Amino acid sequence: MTKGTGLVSKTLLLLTLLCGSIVAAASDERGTSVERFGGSFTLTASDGSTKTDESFRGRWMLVYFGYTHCPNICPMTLSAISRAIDTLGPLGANVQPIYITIDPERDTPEQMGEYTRAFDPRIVGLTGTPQAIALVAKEYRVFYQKVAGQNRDDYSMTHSSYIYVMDPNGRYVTLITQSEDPAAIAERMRQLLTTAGPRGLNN
Amino acid sequence: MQQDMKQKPGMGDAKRETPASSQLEVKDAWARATAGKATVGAVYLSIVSPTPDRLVSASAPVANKVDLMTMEKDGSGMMGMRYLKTIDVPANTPVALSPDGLHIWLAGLKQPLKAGESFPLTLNFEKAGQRQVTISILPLAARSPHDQMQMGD
Repeated sequence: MTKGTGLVSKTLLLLTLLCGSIVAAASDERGTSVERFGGSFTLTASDGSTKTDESFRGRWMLVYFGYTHCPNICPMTLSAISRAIDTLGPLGANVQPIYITIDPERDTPEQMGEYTRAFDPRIVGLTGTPQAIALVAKEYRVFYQKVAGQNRDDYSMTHSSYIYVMDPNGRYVTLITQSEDPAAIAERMRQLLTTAGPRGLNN
Repeated sequence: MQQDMKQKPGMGDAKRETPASSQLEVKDAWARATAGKATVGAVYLSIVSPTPDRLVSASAPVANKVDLMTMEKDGSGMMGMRYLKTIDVPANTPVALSPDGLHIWLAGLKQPLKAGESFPLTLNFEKAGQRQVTISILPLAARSPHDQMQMGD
């Protein structure tokens, strides 16, 4: 047990160090012409259809990475996103929340669908092959690692927890770090949606 | 600001003034519903005790394994779980197990946790001994024990 705990701490420390660079890169988030996070992906939605990053052009994507066996932060974030979009009223119609699993082993399209529907039918849950997930996670610089549990299926995932905001052209705009706070998400999105043109910040 | 919530030690007869808090109490116990094939879950509750105590273990018939856990989130957004051996309960200071951190981790669930149902959980305290608590299962999207919002199906 003690050994296991040490390993988790060590993993967290390592990932924390790696993440230092994410925060540094994100600190001057206004450089909207530079795509710091994100990229193309080809993943599977809960209805079995293929979705790419281009499937969501024309709307602001709120991209969040997590997993359906996640006890705390993922449910809090998804419910926060759902409430934030409600708070935005008609503006919220321009926002597309996307939940990408970092646990493709357990998160089948059906599992993702059952999960996202429990929060908000507007949330699109995406999964894929371990390779496809590794690729999209790399593009968004999301770190994740399996942490063994007592039984084979009880493992948990250590992962970074940010909401990535992409504009209607699919370009990275900003990170929302207070991912569990509905008011913080709504306020940031209201700012962006009311100051940006329909096609993004520079248009 | 919160002082009036707490009893001042040594002031008057605490037993007579507030009989309910003359012993360790567990309140607002809830669990989040699970989705699909998920076999893990989390229980949240609040503990208050007039004397220092310590939560040492928990058990529930719905799960093969019940652990004390904490979620750690650092400044750079990384989050992960850490097993705890015990959870300290200081005197007259409510300890909240909530989605922000401390929680009771259910592993190897024998059946899905369905919103609207409930299950028994036994908490073992170093001094107060066993406490049997009924855990209400709230929807996946619930944020607190008082969360009454309808969140779809």
